[in-house]
Amino acid sequence: MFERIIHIVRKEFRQMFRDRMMRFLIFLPPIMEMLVFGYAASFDVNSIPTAILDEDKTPASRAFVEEFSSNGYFNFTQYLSSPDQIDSLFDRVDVTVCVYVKKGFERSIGSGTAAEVLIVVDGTDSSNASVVVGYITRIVNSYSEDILLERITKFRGVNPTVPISANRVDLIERTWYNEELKSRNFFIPGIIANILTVVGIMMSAMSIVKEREIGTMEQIIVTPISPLELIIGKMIPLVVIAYIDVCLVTAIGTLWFGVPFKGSFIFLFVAVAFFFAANLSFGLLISTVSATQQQAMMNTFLYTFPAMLFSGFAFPIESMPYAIVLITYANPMRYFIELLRGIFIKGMGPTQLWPSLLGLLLISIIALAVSVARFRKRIA
Amino acid sequence: MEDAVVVKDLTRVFGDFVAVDRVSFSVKRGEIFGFLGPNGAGKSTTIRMLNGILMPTSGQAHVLGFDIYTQVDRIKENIGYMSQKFSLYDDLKVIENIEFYGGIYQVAKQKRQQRYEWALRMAGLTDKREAITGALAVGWKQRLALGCALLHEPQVLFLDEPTSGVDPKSRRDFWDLIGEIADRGTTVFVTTHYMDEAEHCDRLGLIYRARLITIGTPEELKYGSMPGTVVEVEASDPVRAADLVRNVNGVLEAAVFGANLHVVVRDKKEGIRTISRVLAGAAIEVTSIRPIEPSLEDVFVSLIRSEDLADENGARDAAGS
Repeated sequence: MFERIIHIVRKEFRQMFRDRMMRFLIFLPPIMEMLVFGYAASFDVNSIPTAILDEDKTPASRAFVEEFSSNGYFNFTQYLSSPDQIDSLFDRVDVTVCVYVKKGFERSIGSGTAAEVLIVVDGTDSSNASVVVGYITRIVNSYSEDILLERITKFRGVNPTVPISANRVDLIERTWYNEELKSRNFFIPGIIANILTVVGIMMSAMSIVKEREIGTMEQIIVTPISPLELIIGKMIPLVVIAYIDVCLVTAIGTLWFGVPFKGSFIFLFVAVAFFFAANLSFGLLISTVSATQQQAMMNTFLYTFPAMLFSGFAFPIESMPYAIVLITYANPMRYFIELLRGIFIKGMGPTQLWPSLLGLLLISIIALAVSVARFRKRIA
Repeated sequence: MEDAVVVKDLTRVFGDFVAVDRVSFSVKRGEIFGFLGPNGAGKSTTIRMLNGILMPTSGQAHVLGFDIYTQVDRIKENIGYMSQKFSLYDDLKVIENIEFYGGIYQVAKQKRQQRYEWALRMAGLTDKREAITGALAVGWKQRLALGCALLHEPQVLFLDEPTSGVDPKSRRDFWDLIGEIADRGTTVFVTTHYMDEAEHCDRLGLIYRARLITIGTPEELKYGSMPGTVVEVEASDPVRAADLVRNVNGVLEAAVFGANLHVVVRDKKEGIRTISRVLAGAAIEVTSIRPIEPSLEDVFVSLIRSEDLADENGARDAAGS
């Protein structure tokens, strides 16, 4: 039994490394996705192209505008002289934000009445715009506060070094686990889920369907080999590749992109085993409904897209409608994303994460039972 | 010694379609048994049931004494199988294909090297062991596939349309190889739809529309299944001539073959004399009349025709009753 499995494993590795497409599928996706999510794709908003229209041209207005440039988020690309210019700038998508300080800004502040500033934000990309508005609100609030404090100080005639309590609630934000709120830290562990789905489902389904397509499956059935030996022999090389990819992504993610890794590597490897078992079962299932390798590939994509969307990889499950939330419980990727983020960012272990492992285990058992039943039927 | 393959009332149904209908036959050890029939007649289905790829719907079969329902594993260890697809891995090297099949058949370690060299020699690929299999010509692939199917020295070799898509020269070479293999004591069970290949077989079974119509050696089929001599008649009006001679005493069968008339007569000399007289009397001009050796094609065409005729009559009887 073992000897026959070893022969299948050797043959699988030989074919895999001889096939350019396969070599490609093994090493390119992890590296590509690392580059994309590490450098390009991000929810972080930086260097926002900003236009400035300062009609007041006073020390106060300059100080106000200065607040925007000092934090690095806003990048002043245009200085305007008239409000008529604003429309065309937004039409051409030259800027995302326009800060328009009206005439009389300094005077209003001096006299204690409300000073008016118009801030225009391009809302085409709503999530981007809400982040930008958040930044602006923070800047304006802190500016107003400074003025307020100054006035209170003057009014009471107290030495400004003595702390004063203004009547207000201070909101101090402190984010736990991903302190810098970098989406990179959030995405890169998710890449592991993504890669393991491609390797586990697509490659296993294709490798079985390929044998059927070229007729070798029939030849193998006529040999003393059993379907179980064949499947094990085909899965072992994929498991090896899966772990190589996991190590690759983890190494690049932590060493190059500085993603934190607070948990245990051993527990990561255990979690990978659970998730990969589910994926291999799905791959086997897909192989029973696909006649050609192309069909297997299409079916994998048909599964992968919703699986990604409903996994919490990019969009939080908490903000999904209840019916969809229920569906996510059948999605192995959902559990694995929880595991990955728990391990990488929070340093959690099996005591906190066992429900996710259990979810994966149940899904694997069900998928395996269905696909083995179908696989046997397919052969007979 | 008991027969290599024994089949009794073997049947396989796919939905409404009966692919193999109560087929019974046996194959002796060491012979080349040809399973002949048009495409879709049920040849491959039968071979796949004997190899454990397909389960029969009903009936019994034993290969080397092992039951095809319960002892499939024992059967698989002792048979070789090669299909028309020459199931090799195109992306592996010649030697890697041999190593793979040798490995999963678990050829004994001490014998392994010698068997691999044998397979390479037999396929004529000793110099090309490092070549990628996909780059080989079809004839070579066929011999390599045969070599892989024989690595574990099976007692029975099943060949399903082994020569389809192969050029005539390679086909001849291939049949020479089959002859050598059978001479060493291996039983060969081969399906084909080429009549000329049937001549290489020790015995033949004709399967048509899921049923085994006849079985025997090529000689038995040529002479035995024809209860007389075949006489070829070139006549001006073969259709009317056929009707006339059919009623003559001593004529067993008359059928139009293209522009000619093939008449089966009980006695050669007397038959020819009677036919000439009858046709002359009916003012039908006869250009030639001579006895011919029936080809297997003649035999099978006539058997298939009478089978179709029996079917039609059966259908008519069933409709009339």
